[in-house]
Amino acid sequence: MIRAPFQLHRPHSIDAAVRLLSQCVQNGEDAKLLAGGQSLLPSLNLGLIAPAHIISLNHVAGLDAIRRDGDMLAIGAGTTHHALAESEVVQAHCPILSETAACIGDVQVRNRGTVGGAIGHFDPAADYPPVLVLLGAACQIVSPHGERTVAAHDVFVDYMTTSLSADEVLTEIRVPALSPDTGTAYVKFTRVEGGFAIVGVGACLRLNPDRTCRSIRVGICGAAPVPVRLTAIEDTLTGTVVNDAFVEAVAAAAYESAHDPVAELHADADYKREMVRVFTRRAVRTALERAD
Amino acid sequence: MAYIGSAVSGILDTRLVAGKGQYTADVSLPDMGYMTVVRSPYAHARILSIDTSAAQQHPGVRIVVTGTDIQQWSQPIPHTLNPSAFGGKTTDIYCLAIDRVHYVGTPVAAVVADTRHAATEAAGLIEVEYADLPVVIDAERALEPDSPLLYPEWETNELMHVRFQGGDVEPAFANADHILDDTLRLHRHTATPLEPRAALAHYDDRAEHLTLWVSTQAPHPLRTTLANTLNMDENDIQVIQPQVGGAFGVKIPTYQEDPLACLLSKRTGRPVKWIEERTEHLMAGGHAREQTLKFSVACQADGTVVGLKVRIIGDVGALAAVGGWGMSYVASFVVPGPYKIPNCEVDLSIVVTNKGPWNAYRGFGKEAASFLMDRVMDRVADTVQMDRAAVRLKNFVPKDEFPYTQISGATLDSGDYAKALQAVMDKAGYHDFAEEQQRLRAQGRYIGIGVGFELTPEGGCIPDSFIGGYEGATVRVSPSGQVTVLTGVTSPGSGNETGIAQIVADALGVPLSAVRVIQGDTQACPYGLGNWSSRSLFMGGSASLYAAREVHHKVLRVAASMLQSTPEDLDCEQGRIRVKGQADREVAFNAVAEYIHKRAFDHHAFDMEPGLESTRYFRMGNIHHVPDDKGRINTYPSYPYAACVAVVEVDVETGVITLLRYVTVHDCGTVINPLLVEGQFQGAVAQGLGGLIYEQLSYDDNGQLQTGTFMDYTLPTAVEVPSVEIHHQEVPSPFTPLGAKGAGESGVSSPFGTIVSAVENALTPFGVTIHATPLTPQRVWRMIHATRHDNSGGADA
Repeated sequence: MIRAPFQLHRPHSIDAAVRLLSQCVQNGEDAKLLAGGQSLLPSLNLGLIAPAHIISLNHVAGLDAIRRDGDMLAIGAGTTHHALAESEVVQAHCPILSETAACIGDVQVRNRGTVGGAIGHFDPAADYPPVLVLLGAACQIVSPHGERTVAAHDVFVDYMTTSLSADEVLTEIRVPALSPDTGTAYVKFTRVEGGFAIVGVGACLRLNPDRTCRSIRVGICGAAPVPVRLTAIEDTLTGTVVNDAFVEAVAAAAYESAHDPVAELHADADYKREMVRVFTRRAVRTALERAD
Repeated sequence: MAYIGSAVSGILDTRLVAGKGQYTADVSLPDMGYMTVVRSPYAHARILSIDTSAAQQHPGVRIVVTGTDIQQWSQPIPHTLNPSAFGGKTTDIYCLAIDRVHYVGTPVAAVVADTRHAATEAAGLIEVEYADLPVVIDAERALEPDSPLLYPEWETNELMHVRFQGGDVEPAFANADHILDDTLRLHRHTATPLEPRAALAHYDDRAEHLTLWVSTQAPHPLRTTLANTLNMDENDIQVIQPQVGGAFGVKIPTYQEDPLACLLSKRTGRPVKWIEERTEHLMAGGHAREQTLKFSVACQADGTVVGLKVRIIGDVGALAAVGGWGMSYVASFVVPGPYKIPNCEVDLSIVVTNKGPWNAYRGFGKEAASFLMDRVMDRVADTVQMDRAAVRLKNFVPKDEFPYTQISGATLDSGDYAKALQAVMDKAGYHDFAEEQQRLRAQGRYIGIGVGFELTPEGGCIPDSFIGGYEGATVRVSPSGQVTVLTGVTSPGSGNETGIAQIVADALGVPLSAVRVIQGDTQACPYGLGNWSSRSLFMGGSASLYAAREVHHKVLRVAASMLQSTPEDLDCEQGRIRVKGQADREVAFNAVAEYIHKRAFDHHAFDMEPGLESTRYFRMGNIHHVPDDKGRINTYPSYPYAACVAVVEVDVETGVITLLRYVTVHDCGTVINPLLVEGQFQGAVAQGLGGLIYEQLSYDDNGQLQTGTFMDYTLPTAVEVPSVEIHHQEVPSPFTPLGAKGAGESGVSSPFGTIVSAVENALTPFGVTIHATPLTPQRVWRMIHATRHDNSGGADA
C-alpha cells in the first residue's frame, strides 16, 4: 500500500516535465519522476520515500524512440527493457544491450521498466550501468538551464547516487553501433531467475585476423558500489594473443578491481570477489566464442 | 467407479485461473473501516507507556486500542495446542501485548480508520515507550542458566521437555561395530502463501450477530475460540471462509488479529477489514523449521542399525496461541520414521527465543524427522561402505509387520517401503548413474544422485483439542436431482472439493456436473475441523461417502419399487438407474428424486422416511488416546510415504545447485484423483527445495529480522523447480472406506535428505559432508573451497 498521499502530474512534453520538476525543487518540495515505476512503487509501498509530487513521464510523446544516428544508436529514456531487448536495430548493432535488457527481472518488469528509470534509480545491482560504462555510452540530460551530455562513467558516482541534479531529466542514451565482428556477452549471477544481480559482467571483444586482441572492454556490477571498468588490463592486453592465459588475466584483474563489493546476506564480500572472477571469465569466454 | 481414480480437472480451476475467485480482500461492506496493527520494533522490551492521543485526533480515526483496553474487553485467546496439556509451560496471549514484547512484530496497538491511509498514518502517531530487555536469539544459549528469560515466571526458557524411549539402548551401543555422532541444523523459514492473512468482521448491533469473513483453514474451531475470546455465544457468531489463496498450515489457528478485528467492529458498530502486509507476514505470520538435531547411531558392519539416540532442540521463537511449537513435538514423535530400530531414545527440548513464534507449516515437524533419518542412513552407509539405498532397504520396517508401533506410540498403518524405494531407483536409473557421472566429471561437471525417504503421518488427532480425527458431511439431493455436499472440511485452494465431488458422484451414480460442494460456512456446513494434516479427502471424503451411500440407498429403494425390481438388481450410472442387463427398464435419477420430494405419500415412497438428505460423521481408525502398557498413545492414523531420488548438478565454481530430476514413488493409498495428488506433490517439492536452498528467515544478534521482504527472503521460481516425476504405489489404508490415506502434505519433507545426499554424491571428489541448511551457493562454495584448501594446499582459481 502506498503510505502517503502525493500529487500526480502527467505532462505531455519534456519541457513541461522539466518545468514541473524545477518548480518543485524551487519550492523545496520533494518530487520523483515516474517512468515504469518498477523501483519507485516498491519504495513508496515500503514507505522508504514519501515524495509530495510524482511527475509521470509516461505521457511524453517520443520518449521511447530508438533510432540509428550515424555511428551511434539513440535510445529514448522511456524505452522499456522489453522494447530494447526486441529492437532489431539494437540487436543488429549493439547486441550486448539487447542481451542485458532481456535478462532484467521478469516479463512484467521488462514490460514496464525503462532504461532511463534504471539509470536514474541506479541500484548497485542494476544491469545496464556496467554495460553502458563499457560501451562508453552518453546520457542526454535536460534541465531549465539547457541540455548537457554526460558520459555514463560520470553519471554513476556513488552508492545509489548519480550526477543528475534534482531538476534534471534524463531523455536519451547514446551508445556506439558496434562493428559486426565484435563478440559481446553479458552474464549475470542471481539466486533465482529474474533476481537482482549478485554479480553482472559485460564484455566486448574484437579479434585481429591473427587472433590477437584488437580490443577488449569489460564492465562489472557487484564489484563495487559503482560499475567497474577494467581500463588498465584492457589496454595491456590489446594486441596480445587471445588464449586461456588471456582470459585468466582479465579474470584476475576483475578480482583485483572488486576491492569494495556491497556485501549481501547470502553473498559476503569475499565470495562476491570470487564470483566477479568466475563471471568475468565466463563473460570473456562467451564474447570470444561470439567473436570467432 | 466412474470418477474415483481419474484425473478430473479441478472444478474451480477455470474460475480461479481466470481471476474470478472471491477472496477475503474482495469482500467489501458499506461503511467499513480499516485496521492497522502497530508492532514492536524491539525483540524484547517492557512497554512503559503508550500515548495514543495524537492518533485519536487524526482525521478519519474511529478507534485506537492498546493492551490495556484489550485486557478489559476480552479474554486470552485459547491456545490451538496448549503446551501445559503436554506437561509444558504456558502463558496468556491476548489480542495485543499487555506489558511486554517478546519478538519484533509483536502487536502492541491497533487503529481503525475510514481508510487504510488514515489508519496507517494514525498508527505512525502512536508513541510507545519501551525499556529494552536483554535478547536471546539462540536456543542453545537460551538453555544456559544465565540466559535472559522471556517469561521470568517459568524460571527457564524451556517450554517443554519430552522423552521417548524403547528397547535397551545402552547394551545395543555397547555391542555395536560402529558408533557415529553428528549434529544437524535446520534453519528457520516459512510458508509464504500467495494470499496473506485477511479478515473482514461485521458486528450487526441490531441483530447482535457477528459475521467474520476470514482467510482460514478451520472455520468452526475459529468460531469457538472467537466466542471464548470475545465473551460471546457461539450462536451469535458466523464464520465464512471465502476462497483461500494458499494456507499450508499458517491459517489453521486463531491469530490475534482475528478476534481483534471482531472486537473493534463491535466497539465501533461498523465493519472492520484487515489485510496483512507481506512484511507483517514475514515477521509475525508464523515461522517454522529451526531445529538442532543431534544423533548418535550404533550399527553393525552389515549396515544394520541397532541403536539410536536423538537429541532435538526446537527453537520455536516466542510463545503465541497458534500452537506452532507442536511441530517440534511431532519431529520427535516420528523418529525413527520408516525404520525398525527398537533400541531408540529421543530427548526433546522445545525452547523459546526472541524471534517470531512458530506456526504450522506443511511438514509440521515430519520434515525434520525425515531429514534426520536420511542423514543417519547416509552416514551409516558411508561408514560401513555400503550403498546408501541398500542401508535403507536393510533397516525398513518389513511389509508384513504392519501395524508397527514405534517408540513414541506412532502406529504405522500399512505400506511396502522397500518396494517403493526399489521402484523409484529403477525409474530414476539409479544403478546406471555412476557411468554418466564419471563421463561428465571428466568434463569438469559434477552431477550427483541421492536417495531419500519421507514418512508423512497424516490426520493428526490430539487429545482435548480441535486437532481431531473425525469429520462430518451432509449430502442433499434436490427435487431436480441436483446434489449439494456440505462439508466440515475446507479447501485452501488445493482442490479437495473436486475429489469429494468425485466420491459423491460415484456413490450416487450421477454426473460430476450435478454435484456442488459447499465448504467453509459455519451457518451452512456441518460441524467439522477444517483442512490440515492432509485430512480433507480421507476424512471429509469418507464422511461424504457415508452420507451419499445413505441417500443412495433411499433412491434405490424407490427406484426398485418403480421398476418392479430390487435395489440389489439396479445399476446407477450417469444419472440413469437400470435393471441390470435390461436396457429398457430404467428410470432417471432426477425422476426418482422428484418423486421422493413430491410424492412422499404415494405408494413407491410411502413406507420410507421422507427427504433426500443425510448427515454422517466419519471416525478414523488407528487413533489411540488411551495409553498402552508402555504409556504410549498414537495421534496419527495414516502414514503415507514417498521414496525419492534426486539428481543434481553442482557448479563448483559458484556453489550453485541445480536440481535436474526429482523422481518419487508415493503411496497415499487409493488415489482418488491423480491430477490433484500430483499437483500437491509438485508444489510440496517446490516448497521443500525452496526451504533447503533459497528461503531463510535470518535474525541479527539484536533479534532484528534481516529478511523482511521478498527482496531478501528468496523464493524459488518455476525455472528453479523441475517437473517432478511422480509414480503411485497404492497400498490401501485399512482404516478408510476407500483405502485413501492423507495426500497433500507429502513431498515437502524428502527434498531435505534426498537433495543433500545428491549434493554430497556430486561433490565426492571434494569429500564434502553436509550438516546444516540452507544450501546457499556461498555456503556450498565454501564447503568445496575448504576441502580444496585441505587437499591441495591452494585455493582454486
